[in-house]
Amino acid sequence: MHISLGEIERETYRKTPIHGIDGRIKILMALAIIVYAVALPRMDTMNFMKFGLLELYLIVLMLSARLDFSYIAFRFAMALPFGFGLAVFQPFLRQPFTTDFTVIYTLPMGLEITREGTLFGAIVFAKFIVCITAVILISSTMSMSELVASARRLGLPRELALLFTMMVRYIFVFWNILGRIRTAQKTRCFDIWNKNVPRRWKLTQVGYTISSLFIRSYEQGERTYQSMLCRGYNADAHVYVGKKKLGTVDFFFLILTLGIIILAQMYITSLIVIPLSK
Amino acid sequence: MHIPDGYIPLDQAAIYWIIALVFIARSIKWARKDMNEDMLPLLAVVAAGMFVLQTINIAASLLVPIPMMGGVSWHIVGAALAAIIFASPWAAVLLMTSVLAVQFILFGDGGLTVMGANIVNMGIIGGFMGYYTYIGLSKLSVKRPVAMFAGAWASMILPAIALAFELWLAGTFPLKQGVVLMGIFQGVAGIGEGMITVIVFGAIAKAKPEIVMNGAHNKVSTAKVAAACIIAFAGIAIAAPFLASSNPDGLGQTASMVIKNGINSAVSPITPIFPGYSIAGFGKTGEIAAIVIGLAVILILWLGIMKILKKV
Repeated sequence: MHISLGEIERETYRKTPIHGIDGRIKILMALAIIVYAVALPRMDTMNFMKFGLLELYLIVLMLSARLDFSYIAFRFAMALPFGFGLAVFQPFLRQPFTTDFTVIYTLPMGLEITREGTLFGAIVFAKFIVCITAVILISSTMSMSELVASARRLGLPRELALLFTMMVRYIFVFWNILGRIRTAQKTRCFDIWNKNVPRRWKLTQVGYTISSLFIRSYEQGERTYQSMLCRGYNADAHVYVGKKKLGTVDFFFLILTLGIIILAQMYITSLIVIPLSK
Repeated sequence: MHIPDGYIPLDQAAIYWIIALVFIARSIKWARKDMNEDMLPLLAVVAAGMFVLQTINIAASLLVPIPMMGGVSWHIVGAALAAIIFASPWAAVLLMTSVLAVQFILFGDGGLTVMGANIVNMGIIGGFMGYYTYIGLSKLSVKRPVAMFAGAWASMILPAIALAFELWLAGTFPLKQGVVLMGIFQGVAGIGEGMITVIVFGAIAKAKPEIVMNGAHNKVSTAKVAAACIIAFAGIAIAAPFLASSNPDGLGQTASMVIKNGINSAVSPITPIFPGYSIAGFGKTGEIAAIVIGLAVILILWLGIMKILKKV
């Protein structure tokens, strides 16, 4: 079901101007877009143009990063289900923050679709799409370790930096270990969907897989910790993150993103309001 | 079960973030100071392992032998498992926080503004309630696998109910339907979580007994377990009237009118701890007070039984 971790990491190896933007700027860009999208009012038809502008901007960035289309589609498909499920219910619900509901369609069995509910559902879903796009963009254009290093440069506390730096390094190791376990099970004809094997036995096998993975990660953790101690690690140790200067391109993209957000906020509102006031 | 961005307004999301940050800070202190040595590097590597073992898909047909469930799968969360193995709910908070952060970035599960809420649900509520359910039952000399199963199950169902309340507060989903839907979904997944937790703990205790803390329930003070119980009961006490009310905030007359009767009968096993109890003239406050008093009585009874059990 899940996309291979290696595939996600591979997308980050490309060399395009977007991949080249400093990690700090990319994090700030995504942060600004996500917070702005979430902060937009939940019942306002004007939102759609703002979301449209942000989404368009993010898609342009994705295209210039030359991300593989099927890869992006897959990433979206993976993230969508729960959010989509929640949004689909909205037209049938009476949201507590509105009182007037206009029924636009009545289905059999007393189900009513309201205009307000549909609007709220669509806005919430649009917010979700914009946020997901921003995350997919940054996670596809920089590697996990770069992301952690950039977060560290932005002031992530050093304990968390240590935690995430080590974690993202070992994720790929354990991913491969799990792959090996799976291959070993496959060569012995283990199939979790096989109906001819008792369910209890299959469940036990899954349990063993998980416990084996857990024990291996624990032992790896012990080994790593021991070798860190050998190299002089103590609780005051820092994760070293080299200094990196921000270039003109980086500032350009930061200003561009903020500009797009300001444009969405000021211009689109005024564009609609001015003709109306006349 | 990850709430995505946009489904909780910023102000509420900020509150969950603040709660989560307090717990994260405390859990880091636990990893650094409370153990014999600095556990943070080790936990970081275990977090990577936890992340990967959450990607193992388990066929739902192993759980519910319904043909329809043939292609459906679920995965374990492991909050209770982590807390039980490390004999501390702080381990669950720390591990779940790191797993949720990486899941958000790599898989797009959950969100940035709502990560606080997700950490509160899965890490804090799941870890603490799962762990203390296990410890509490072990103290009552319930057999270890049973206590562990119950703990793991609680670590799935309670976050689901909390999530339903959070979505309701955010105005995104009606309360009762949310509790029933999430409750059924996570209640079933919790059975699998429970079984896998028991199997995994057993296997680890056999293969590498030195990493699991045996007899942890003897080291945890009864006062701590009681405190966790009081907090859990207080949560239920505050929540129950809203569930018991036929119309929490006007969401009652919604699309689900059709299934309303079904829902009322499905919810009733959870809510009417004190059906129809209320102090006249006090409305909702009276109802809450009645339930708090009732739960206090249960708690005192429970503590009394514990005392007797200890003497015997």
